[in-house]
Amino acid sequence: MKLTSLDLERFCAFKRTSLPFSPGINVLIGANGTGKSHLMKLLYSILKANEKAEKNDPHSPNTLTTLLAQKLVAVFRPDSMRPEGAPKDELGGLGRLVFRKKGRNSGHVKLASDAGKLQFTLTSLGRLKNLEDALPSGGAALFIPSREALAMYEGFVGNYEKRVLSFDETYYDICVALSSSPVRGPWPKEFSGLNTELETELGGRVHEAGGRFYVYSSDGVIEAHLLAEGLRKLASLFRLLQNQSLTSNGFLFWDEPEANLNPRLVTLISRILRRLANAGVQVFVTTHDYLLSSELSLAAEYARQSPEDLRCEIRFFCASRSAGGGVEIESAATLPQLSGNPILKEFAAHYDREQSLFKGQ
Amino acid sequence: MRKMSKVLDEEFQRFEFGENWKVFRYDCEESGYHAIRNSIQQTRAVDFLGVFEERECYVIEVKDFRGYRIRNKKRLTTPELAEEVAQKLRDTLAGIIAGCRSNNRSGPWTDLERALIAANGDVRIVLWLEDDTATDLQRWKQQLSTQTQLIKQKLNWLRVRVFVVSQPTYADCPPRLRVSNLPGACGHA
Repeated sequence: MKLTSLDLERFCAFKRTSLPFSPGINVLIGANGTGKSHLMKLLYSILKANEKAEKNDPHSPNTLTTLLAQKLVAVFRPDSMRPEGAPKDELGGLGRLVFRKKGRNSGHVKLASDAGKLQFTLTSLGRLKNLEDALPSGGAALFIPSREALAMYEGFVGNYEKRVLSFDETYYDICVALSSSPVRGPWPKEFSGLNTELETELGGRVHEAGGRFYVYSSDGVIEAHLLAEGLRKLASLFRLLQNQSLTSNGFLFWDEPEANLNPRLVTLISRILRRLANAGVQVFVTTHDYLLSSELSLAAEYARQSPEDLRCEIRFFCASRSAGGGVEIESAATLPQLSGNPILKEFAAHYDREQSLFKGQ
Repeated sequence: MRKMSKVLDEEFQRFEFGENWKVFRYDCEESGYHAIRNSIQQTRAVDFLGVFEERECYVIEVKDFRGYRIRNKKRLTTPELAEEVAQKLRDTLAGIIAGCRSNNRSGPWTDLERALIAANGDVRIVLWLEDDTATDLQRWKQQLSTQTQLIKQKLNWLRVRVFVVSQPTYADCPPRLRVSNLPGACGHA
């Protein structure tokens, strides 16, 4: 299953927007506070709730509606202030995901895939209702948060289950995914080449022992939390592929993969994302990085010149605040086709600043 | 000596330098360039040397790739162009020193060379670069910034200011300069 589109009305910062997805890589750019991560969290929450509902006992009281409401609250972590008049039995804070305005309001979400669709309404009173249709079962969804998870892994899952921590559930989910043991045998053939590429970059293979991760290389064993943060990101990806938490029919949501990466690793990440998409993973990525977005745009602009194993469809989305309030999203096949690009705009402003300084005494 | 002109044509562009400019085409008989080139044939030269308001010294190189994008793509996407500019500047500096030490020359041309040598502030290196891709202004500015950085790297042995500019991005830098296209610009006959 591939997600094909998302239509939003009055959800979070979005008044009304529509996103046509690529089955390969979807790149979201935009200034801070324009809802890029919210879009990914929404898609992830729906897919995870759907996954859980599929596995559920059909007689369980936990319907998809309940599971989805729970997941949205756990992933978005809205304040649990109950608006006046809201029923006591509803999940606190869910209503805060509806576009804010005075008085009562409701938001609508419609997610379509090539094999079915799902839609629902959220009310500002915190009710999730009118859930219609359903998505078929697909591959698992993974959300890699912007803060690297491997270093915080030790004891995190147990602590999260027992205590109130200020992390949203994407951190818990990624740690649970990392905790699965590797699958015996060779890597799936769709990912052949990726293991070698990651292993070469890491200088060895990733192993877990006693609740900690290590990289075993010819030079010895190094604790994962002693690795550079950029390499820990690669080590996480290695583990997720090694234990098949990420499969070729799955979904990968990666929030700002470039954070704390040097440009050479950013180029590698661009190539890895293309390999994953080529293998069948539907990828969603947010970025503020000029190099990563430009590398992916080059791949789209020169698609026919790409090597066979890196070839994939790519689509770009730019989120920006509109004059009338709320956030608008523009999409295009390549980065230059977007009319707005906040990353490039800042580079152009940098050029203007340099021109101004050059003229001075 | 040839009278100093404030209107200079280079490739398919006309450069009109305003008041308070002293500017020369460097590739001329009076400069030290030809003396060196007579001995070392690989010697290269920038296009213009100029002083604005008796204090700001400029070295200006002009490149117009419009209509020749494919042929020049490699030069724009690699450090090749930056290296070419740096080599031209290196050779030009040699020519300027040669001019200053020549017994045969005097007058405003030599004054300009002496001003460049004695410049208290930084010498300002300008690459005037035109290309077909300049239509997307933000992207073009980013490319010009990258070229600026590449030239700075190549000239890190010298205390200079570097800037890459073009008609669409010009904002009075260098000052009081008007640049227009001549017939044949943009690769069209």
